[in-house]
Amino acid sequence: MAHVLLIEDDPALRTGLGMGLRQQGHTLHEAATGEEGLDLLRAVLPDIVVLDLMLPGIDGFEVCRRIRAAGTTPIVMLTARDDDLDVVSGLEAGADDYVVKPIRPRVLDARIRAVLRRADHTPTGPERYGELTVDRGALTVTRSGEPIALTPTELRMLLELSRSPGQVMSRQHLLQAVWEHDYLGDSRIVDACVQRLRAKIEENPSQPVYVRTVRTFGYRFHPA
Amino acid sequence: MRGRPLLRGLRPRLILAFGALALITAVGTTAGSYFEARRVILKEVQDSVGIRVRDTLRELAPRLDQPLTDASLGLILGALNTPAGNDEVAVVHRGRVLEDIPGTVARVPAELREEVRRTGNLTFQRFNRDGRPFFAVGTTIAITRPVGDDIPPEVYVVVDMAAQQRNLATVGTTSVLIAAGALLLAVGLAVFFARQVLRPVRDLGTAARRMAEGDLTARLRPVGHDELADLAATFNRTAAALEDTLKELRDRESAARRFAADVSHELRTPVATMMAVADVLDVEAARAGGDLPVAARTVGEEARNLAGLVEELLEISRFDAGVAALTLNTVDLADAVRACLRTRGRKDTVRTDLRDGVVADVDPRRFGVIIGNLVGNAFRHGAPPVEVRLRADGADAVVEVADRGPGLPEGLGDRVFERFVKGDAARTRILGHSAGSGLGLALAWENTRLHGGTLTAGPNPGGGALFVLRLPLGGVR
Repeated sequence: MAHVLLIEDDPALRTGLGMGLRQQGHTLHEAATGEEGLDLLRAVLPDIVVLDLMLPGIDGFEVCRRIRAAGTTPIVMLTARDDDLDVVSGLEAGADDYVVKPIRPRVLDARIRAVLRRADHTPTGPERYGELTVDRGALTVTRSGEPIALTPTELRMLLELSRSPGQVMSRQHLLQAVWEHDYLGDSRIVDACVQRLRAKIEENPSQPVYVRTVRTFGYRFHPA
Repeated sequence: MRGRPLLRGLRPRLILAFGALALITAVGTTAGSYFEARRVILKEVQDSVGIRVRDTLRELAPRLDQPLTDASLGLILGALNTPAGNDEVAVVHRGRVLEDIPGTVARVPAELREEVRRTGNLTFQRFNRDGRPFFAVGTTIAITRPVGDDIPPEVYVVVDMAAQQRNLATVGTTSVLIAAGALLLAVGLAVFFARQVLRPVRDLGTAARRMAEGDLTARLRPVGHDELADLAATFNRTAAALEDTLKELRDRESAARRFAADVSHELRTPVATMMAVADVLDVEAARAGGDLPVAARTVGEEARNLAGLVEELLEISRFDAGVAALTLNTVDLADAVRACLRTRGRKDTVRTDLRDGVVADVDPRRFGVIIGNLVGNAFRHGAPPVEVRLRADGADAVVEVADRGPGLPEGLGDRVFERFVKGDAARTRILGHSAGSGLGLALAWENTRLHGGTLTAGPNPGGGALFVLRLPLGGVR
C-alpha cells in the first residue's frame, strides 16, 4: 500500500495509530517532532504525510507549509474537534484533508486512500482552455507549455471542475466528488483547495479567470 | 404602578386622606367663624339699637306731657333716630301713627307688633323685605303713669342691615377663599409629602423588581433613620447575601465545569490511544480462540464509548465557556439529514419524509449532531418506527423526529434536555450498546440554541415522543 509518514508527538498515540495503519497494510515511518518529520520526508519520500497540528518545536502549520513548498506530497492533518480555527489554518497551510480526533485507524486509512486516489483517467486527448492544457489521459496539466505540479487533491478538483465547463458546482458536490466525504463535511476545505489551485493555474489568483466563485453556491470552471 | 386602578395606589390614597382632612377642617373652621361672625354682628346691632331706644326713652320721659300730646310723640320720633337718620322710626298711640318715612309701621312685621302690644317689652325681629335684610325693634313707652285707660304708645325702629349683610358676605367669601387656599395648600403638601414618604417605597419596589429580573446588584440608598430606612438596610443586606450566595454557587459550578473540562482534556489522549489500539486488537483477537475476541471487542466498544463521552464532555464545556462557534454553510437540509442517517448507519431503519429544496445556512457538523442525537435518542429511549420529517415553515426549517415508544416520562418536560437526565431510569445498559452518555439531548439543545433555533419535546399524537427542531433558514437571527 502506501508509504505513510506519521508525525505525532504523543508516543502512545503514535504507536497506536502506527499499529493500526500497518495492520491496514501501509508502510509506516514515524517522527515525534516536526524537524524529525521533515528530515524523514527527504530521506524516505513518503506517498502521504499524516501530521498532528499540535507539535513541540516547529508546529504542524509550519511543517505543512514546508512540505508544500518542497513538493506535492499530500497531507492529512490530525486535529481536535474544538480546534476549529486550526482546521482553517491547516487547510490554508496546504493540508489536503483532515481527520478529527479521536481517530479510528480504519477511518484514517479510508481518508488516506481517498486522498491518494488517482483521478479517473479517460484517454480523450488534451483539452485546451486558453493557456491551460488539461490531459485527462496522462493526468497532467500545463500552462503555456510549462507543467504544473498539482497534489492529487488539486488535480481531482481541476478535473472535476473542468469536466463540464460553464456549469456551476456546489461545494457539497465537490466535497463528495473530490474528497469522498460521504457526510456533510465542512466546505471550507473546498475553498482552501480552490485557493491553492488558483495560486498554481491562474495568472492573477486574486482575479481568477478559470475557476470563478459563484456567490454562496460554489464554483464554476470558465474556459478562458 | 402598572395596571393598578386609580385610588388603589398608596400615593393617591394618602393624598386623598390629606385632602379630606384639610377639607373637613377648612369647612368646619370656615362655617364656625362665619356663624360666629354673624352672631356677633347681629348681637351688636341688636344691643346698640336696644340701648339707644331704652336710653332715649328714659331721657325723654321727664319732658313728656301727661297725657301724651302730639308734640311729645313728635319729640320721641325725632329723638329715636340716629343723628344721621339712617333708620326708620315710628310711634303709634291710640290709633295715631307718626313716622318719618311713610309706611314704616306697615313694614314692621305683624308678629312683632302683636308681641309688643301683648308684652310691652323690648322685642326684636329680623325680616327680609324685597330681598333686603332689616332689623326691627319695638317696645312700649312704659314710663307714663297710666291715666285712666291710657294706653302706652308703641315705638318702632327699623334698621337697614344691608351694610352688615355685606360685611357678613365679605366674611363668608374670605372664609371660603381661605378654606380653598388651605385645601390647595394641603393637597400640595400631601403630594409633596406623599412623594417624600413614598419615594423609599417606590425605590424599594424598583429594586425588588430589578432583583426579580435577576439583577442582584440592585441596592437602595438608605435615607434618614425611619422605619423605611431600616427596611432599605434590610433589603440591601438580603440582596448582598443573595448575591454572595449566588456568586459562590456560580463559582462552584464553574469550578465543577472547569474540572470536568480539564479531566476530559486529560482523558482525551489516552482514550484516543486506546481507541486507535482497539481496532488493531479487534482484528488480531479475531484470529485467536476462546474469550479473547469477545474481550477485545468489549474493550474496543467501551474505548469508543469513552472516547465519545469525553468528546461530548469537551463539546459541552465549550458551550459552557461560551467559545462554541458556528461554521455556517449553505446546505440542502434534506441532503444533510440523509447524510447524517447514512454515516450513523440509520439509513435503512429510519422512515423519512423530507421536503427537498429546504436550503438553510447551518453548521453541517452541528446540524448532524442535533439530528443524530435526536435519532439516537429515539432508538435508545423510544421504539421503532422512528420517523424524520423535514419541511419549511415561513422563515424556519422544521425537523421532526418521532418514535412510537412509551413517550416522555410524566413530568419530565423540557428537563429531558438537561445533562445526564435519562428518559427511563430503569433502562439497563446493554453490553456494547451504550445507553447513551446522557449528554446527547443536552448537546442537541445547545447546538440548536447556537443556531438561534428552538428544540422542544412533547408527545407524538400517534403515541411515543416527538421532538421538534426549528432553525432559522437565513442563519442565526
